[in-house]
Amino acid sequence: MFKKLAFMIMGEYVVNFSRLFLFALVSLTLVFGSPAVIQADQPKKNLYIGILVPLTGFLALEGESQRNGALLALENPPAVLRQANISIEYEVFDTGTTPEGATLAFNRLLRRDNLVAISGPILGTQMLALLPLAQKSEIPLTTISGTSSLTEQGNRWLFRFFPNDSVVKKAQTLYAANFRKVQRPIIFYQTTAYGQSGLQYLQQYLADLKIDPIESISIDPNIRDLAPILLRVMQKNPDGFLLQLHAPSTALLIQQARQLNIELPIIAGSAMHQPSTAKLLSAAELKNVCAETSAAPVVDSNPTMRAFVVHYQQRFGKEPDAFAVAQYDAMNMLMQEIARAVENHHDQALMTIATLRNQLRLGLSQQPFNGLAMHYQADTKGNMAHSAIIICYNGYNHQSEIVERYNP
Amino acid sequence: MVTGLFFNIVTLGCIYVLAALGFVFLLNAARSINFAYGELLLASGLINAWLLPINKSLTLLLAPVVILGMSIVLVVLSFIFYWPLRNRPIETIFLSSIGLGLVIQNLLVLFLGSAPVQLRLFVDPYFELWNILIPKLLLWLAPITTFTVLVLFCFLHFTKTGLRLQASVQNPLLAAIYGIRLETTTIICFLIAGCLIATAGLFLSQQYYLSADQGNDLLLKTYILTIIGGWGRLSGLIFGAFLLGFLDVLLAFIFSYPLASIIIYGLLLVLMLLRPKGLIQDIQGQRV
Repeated sequence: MFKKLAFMIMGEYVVNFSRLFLFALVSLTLVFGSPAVIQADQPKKNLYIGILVPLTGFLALEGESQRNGALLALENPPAVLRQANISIEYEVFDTGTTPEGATLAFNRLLRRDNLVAISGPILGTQMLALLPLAQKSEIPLTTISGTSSLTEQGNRWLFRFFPNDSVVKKAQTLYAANFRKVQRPIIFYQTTAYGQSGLQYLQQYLADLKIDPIESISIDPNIRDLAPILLRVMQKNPDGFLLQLHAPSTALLIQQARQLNIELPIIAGSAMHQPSTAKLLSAAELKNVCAETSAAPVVDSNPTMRAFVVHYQQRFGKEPDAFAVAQYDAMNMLMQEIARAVENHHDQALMTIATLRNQLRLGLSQQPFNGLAMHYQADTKGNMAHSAIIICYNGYNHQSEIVERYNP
Repeated sequence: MVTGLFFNIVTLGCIYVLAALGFVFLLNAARSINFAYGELLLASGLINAWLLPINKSLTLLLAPVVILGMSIVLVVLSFIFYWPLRNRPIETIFLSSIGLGLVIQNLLVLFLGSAPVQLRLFVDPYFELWNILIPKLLLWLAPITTFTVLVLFCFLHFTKTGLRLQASVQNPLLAAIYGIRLETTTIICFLIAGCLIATAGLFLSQQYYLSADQGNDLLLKTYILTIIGGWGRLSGLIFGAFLLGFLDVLLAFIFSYPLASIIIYGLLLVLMLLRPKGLIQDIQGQRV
C-alpha cells in the first residue's frame, strides 16, 4: 500500500527513493558506528576516591587542613579528567586518632564500587595500620604523614607527598645549629609514632653535627600543663628547644615557656608553621620561634600559590598550610595519573578496576609531578617529596617568613 | 622556681576541687557515675572560651550567665538521660550517660569545631611581685574556690534544704518516708552540679587548651582524686584535689610525665588495698 501510494505521488522516482533510503541508512550506520563515535558515546566513567582524615582528636587541626586540601582539588578536577570523560566521586571519613578508626573506615571504603585510590590519614600510627590492608587489597594509598617508618615497610602501594622526617629533621637541626648557634638543645617529642620517628632523626643529625642534646623529653598529647617540666629543664641551662610535637602540645609548650620568661629560640616541627597553630599564641609569644615544613603557602610569592591561597580562603574562610597544599598536590597528581591510566589503556571498556589501580600505582611511582609546593618524584620507597623550608615568626604579628630552603 | 611550682599546684588544685565537687553532686543526683561528666566539663569550658571573648568587658556579667545557663541545661538534659530511667537498674543510667557524653562530644565538634581553644582573658597572664611571677588567674580562682567550698559547707550543714539533700542521698527510702521530695532534691543536685562543672570549665579553659576529645581524660582524673580523697566528705575531696595537683606537678618536675603517671596510678593501687574508701573515709551522716 505504501509502495502504491508512493508510485502515485512520485512515479518512477520511487525506486530511486528506495535506493536513497537504503543508502542513507547504510551511511548513518557507518558514520555513527565508527570507533571514534563509539568512544564519544561511551558512558562516563565514574571512579571513587576515599579520603580518610582525623577530624577529631589531637590531630584535628592537621586533619582539617588535609580534608580542605583534598576537597579543593577534587571539587576542581584537572582538565585531563574531563577530556578522558571521567568523573571522580569522593567521600570524607573521620578516623579520629585511633588505628581502629582508620581501619574501620578503610574497610568501609573497600565495599565501594569503582574505588581507585585512598588518601590516608596524616597520623603515622593510623597509616601503619592501613599499610597491610592497602597491600592486600592492592589499592594505591597516599599520605602526608611525616612518620619515616611508613616508607620503610616495603609497601609499593604507598605514596607520601610530605617530606619525611629524614628530610625535615635534617633541615631543623641544620638551621638550629648553623643559624641559631644552638649547641645545648633540649628535645621535646610527642609519645606518638610521629614523635618517636622525629626524635630518632633529630638525635642522629645532632650527633652528625657533634651536638649532644641535654635531654630528650617525651610529652603525652593529653598533658595540659608543661610548666613543671620547663622549670626543671631550665636548671640545666639549655640554649634552645627542638620540638617534635603535634599542634596543641607545640602551642602549649611555647605559651608556657614564654609565660615563664624563657626566651630561648624554639625550632619547632611542622605543626608550628600552621596559621591555625600560630593563632593559638600571641604575636609576642611567637618571637624567636621557627619551624620546619614543606611549604608556607601564606607567605609564598609564587603566583600559582597566591591563587591557591585566595581560592582556599574563599572556600574555607581560613588560611591554608603546608598540609593542605601537600594534600592538594597529592589529589591532583592522583587525578592526573588516573586520566593517564585510562587514556593509555588499549581497551577502556574492558579495563577493570584492578588494572586501573595497578596502572595508577605505576604512574605514581614513575611519573614526575610539578605541584604547588614542590616538584614531586617517587624514590624507590614511595617518598614523593624531598625538599624542606624553615619559616620564622618575627614576634610582631602572626606572619612568618621563609628564612631557609633545603633541597636534596 | 619553687614559687612557680607552688602557684602551679595551687591553681591545679583549685580547679580540681571545683571539678570534683561537680562530679560528686552529679553522682549523687543520678545515683551512678556519670560518663558524660568529662564532656559536660569540656562543653562548659569550650562554650566559655567561645562566648566570653566576644566582649571581654562583659566577662564579669557573661560568666555567671553561662554558669547558670549550663546548670539549667544540665537539668533539662537530666529529663532525657536520667528521669525516664530512674527506676530502672543502675547500669541503664550509666549506659545512657555514655550515650549522652558521645552526643555532647559530637555536637561540640559539629558546632564549635575540633581545634583546641583557650580562653585568654589576660593578655599577660602573670604579674611580678618581689621577683615572683604570680598568675593573675589565681587571684580569681583561689577566692572563688574558697567561697564556693564555704557556701556549699554552710548550705549542706546549716540549711534545711542542704540537710534534706544529704538525707536523700544517704538513704532515699527513709528520706521519702519522712516526707522529703526526692524529685526536688535531685533537681537541686543537678543544678548545683551544673554550676560547679561550669565554673570548673571556665577556669579550665583559661588555664589550658581544650578540645572536644579530652572528656575521658578529665573524667578519669576527677574520678581518681575523688577516690583518693574519699567522696563521702567535703574535706576529703579538697584533700584529694590538692594531693593530685601536688603529685601531678611535683612528680613531673622531679622525674618525667610518663614516670609521674606510673607513680600516681601505682599509689592509687596501693591506696585501694590499704584504704579502699579513700584517705579521709566516709563518716555516716556527713556525706556531701
